[in-house]
Amino acid sequence: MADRKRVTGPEKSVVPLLEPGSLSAFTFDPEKRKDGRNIDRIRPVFMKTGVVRQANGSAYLEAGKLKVACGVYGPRQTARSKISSRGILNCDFKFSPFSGGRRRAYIKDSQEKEYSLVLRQALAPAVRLDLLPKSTVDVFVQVLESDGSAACLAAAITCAALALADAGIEMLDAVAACAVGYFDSTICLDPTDEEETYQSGSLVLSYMPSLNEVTHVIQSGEIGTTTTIKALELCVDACAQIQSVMQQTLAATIKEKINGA
Amino acid sequence: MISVSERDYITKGVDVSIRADGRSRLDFRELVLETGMITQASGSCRVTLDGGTDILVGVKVEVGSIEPEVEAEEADILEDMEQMDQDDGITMVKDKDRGRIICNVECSPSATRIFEPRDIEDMCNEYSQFMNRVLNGSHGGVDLKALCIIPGSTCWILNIDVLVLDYGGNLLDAIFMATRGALHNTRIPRATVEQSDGRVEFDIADEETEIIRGWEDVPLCVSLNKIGYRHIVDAAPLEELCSSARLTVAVNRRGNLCALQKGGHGGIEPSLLAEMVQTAKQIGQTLLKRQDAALREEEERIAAGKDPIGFGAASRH
Repeated sequence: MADRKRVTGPEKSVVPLLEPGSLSAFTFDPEKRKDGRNIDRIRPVFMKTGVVRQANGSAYLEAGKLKVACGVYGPRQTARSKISSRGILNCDFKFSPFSGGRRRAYIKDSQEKEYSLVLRQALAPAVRLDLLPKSTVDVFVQVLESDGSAACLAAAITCAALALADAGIEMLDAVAACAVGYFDSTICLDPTDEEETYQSGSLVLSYMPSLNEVTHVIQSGEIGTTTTIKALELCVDACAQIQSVMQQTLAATIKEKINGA
Repeated sequence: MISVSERDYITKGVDVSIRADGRSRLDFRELVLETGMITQASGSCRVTLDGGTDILVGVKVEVGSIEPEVEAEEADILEDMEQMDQDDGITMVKDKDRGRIICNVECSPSATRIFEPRDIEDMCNEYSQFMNRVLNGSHGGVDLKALCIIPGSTCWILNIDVLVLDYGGNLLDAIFMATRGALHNTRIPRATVEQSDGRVEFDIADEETEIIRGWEDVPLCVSLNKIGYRHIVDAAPLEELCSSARLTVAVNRRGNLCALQKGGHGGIEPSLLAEMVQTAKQIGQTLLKRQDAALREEEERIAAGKDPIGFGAASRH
């Protein structure tokens, strides 16, 4: 017999949508970033070449928690018997399973596939593929730890460009990339994972500073035209800063080689 | 592949604003739009650009679980990539009162003799990702909260399937045009939620239907191709082969940018990039007006009970 004195709970329960104050309590203030940066500051970057011995060229990039490694193989003969006057640039982008908050599968998901494509589009304008007929260059980027997906993509592009330079593959210029997050009308450079959850949009720009050419741009979120253009200018400046670090790193590598030999 | 002389001819033409089909640099082709010709779908639209590109979009709505993680776990085992699309955004996990949109672009092999199968797959993946990113957010226009049936458990899932029937250049713009048209045409059955004894149940009435809220805020895409030092809108296949860089801008009716993406193998100077963004915004606005007028016509036709012209629509003009 049913116990009428007790109120039995429902068979299926649904978690409350919002715990009181869980969302409203914290609003992101771009002026007060957790790591103490200004909105127009990127995270301090560390770069190193020659981290993968087997590869023809390799690089490692670290910015805050973000850690990206890249290996470049080639140029080698294109396996397919297709004749092409230009070289082929293969790019492969992979998050390590433990790199983010959620464990990722070993098989590439659609985001990784998309990033691989973006990587190729961002690098191809810089690489002198016309000098490499019938050849293929393989670029493998592995994200060891991610902190902000847009920043991660930008770091991957920068790191891959550095590895290409380390491999001695001729390029027009070293591609540097940087990300911004939009917080209403405020533009914030190089957002972290936590900041990214509050953003209304993001932009990743790849740029060749010496040539003054944009190789790739990708933006999401509903943003006004003037804000977008302002963000582009901000990114261009930041890319120039990143490139100077790249140049220092490459110069140091060469010095080391000369001294070692 | 394109010959050197042909490339030269097109580039020089673009420089003086004369294109092979008589358009100037910023002219869009004539577009033919028709909605509701696939009766089995919840909404459908076909867009034909004069001279080739032919896109058919079908929208199917289904009731699904609001938490994509459950499905993603299954997908891991099944190695089903499409299911994992929904698991991409970090934001989606915490949004428990929203429906979802799943976009997929498919290219009919008969449409694309120019590309290799692998290139087609890459292209379809790129476009699917782009659509998913644009539509699944507050900037996508569609009111995702209105697609929620029971917060935390059940929602409507909009499956937007794009089929490229014929390739005549400028696919992405046509895809977005057809998608917006299909969303305008989509009707969702009314779901009524009842609460009894602490249980939440819902009932779907097939006869009563609702429109998709916020379809008018869905952005349209404008792709600009850089040829030589100039840029053109709505490129034909040969022009796409000459283009050194492509910039795709999604614009909504408020004149805001909803997405920005560069393609192609060349670079763009920052100042030109800013100029291209401005141009795309203006063209997007006129394109939206043109489409809204066409959709209004379609609405009147459907209200009058006239049958769609169907696949003869392309020869209407």
